[in-house]
Amino acid sequence: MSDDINWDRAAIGRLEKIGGRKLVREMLGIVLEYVPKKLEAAREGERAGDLDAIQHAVHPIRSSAANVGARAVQEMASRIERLAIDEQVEQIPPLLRELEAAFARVQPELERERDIP
Amino acid sequence: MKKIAIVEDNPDNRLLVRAILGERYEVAEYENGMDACEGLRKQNPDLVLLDISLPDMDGMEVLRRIRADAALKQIPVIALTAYDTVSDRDKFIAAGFDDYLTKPILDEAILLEAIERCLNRRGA
Repeated sequence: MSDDINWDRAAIGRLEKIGGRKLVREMLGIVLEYVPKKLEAAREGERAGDLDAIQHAVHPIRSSAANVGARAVQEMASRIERLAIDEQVEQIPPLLRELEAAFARVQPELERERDIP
Repeated sequence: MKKIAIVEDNPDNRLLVRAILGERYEVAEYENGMDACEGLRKQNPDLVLLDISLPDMDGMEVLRRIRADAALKQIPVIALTAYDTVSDRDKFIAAGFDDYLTKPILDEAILLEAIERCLNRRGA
């Protein structure tokens, strides 16, 4: 399952080492709330044809995803940010759908991890 | 206890840095550049961890204002950013950052060592 969603669980271990389960739960809670907001901001940027807004929406998704080991999400956000900087407008919409799908795949796993006492 | 300011809009990055700095430092957090520029003068921190991609005013502009402020210009400032190419590093160091660290933070020791190195260098 982890291979399909490209989730690096070692990231959770790193967090646990720093701040125990409390930090893991708190971090996942924030990321699960923050990333959907940024995905929505990216969609709004797409609708408005605003590349700057898209770039600023996906940029923080990179580090949020990396903080919890969501590699597919991190990599896709990084690709979209690069395309936005390079003004490759046509290539962005399908990758935004892929980014949303990548997050949707890993989201249940992150929620399960968050809910472990 | 040394005072460290974190300027970072991403809440999970703030949480992680706060968890790493823990009991070692007194920490103040700012979510954007405008708040940071106002708050730093009141807080007078010993060091600033500054994200580059911030809403409204980016980290480069925040650094410029810090360096232009007689009360703040000696404070060491570390860029903490997801911009992670060699040219990014050169650009940030040339702009006047004291050090440069990339996100995600995979090794807390690297962050703590950079902080101590900068504090010692400036004799803070």
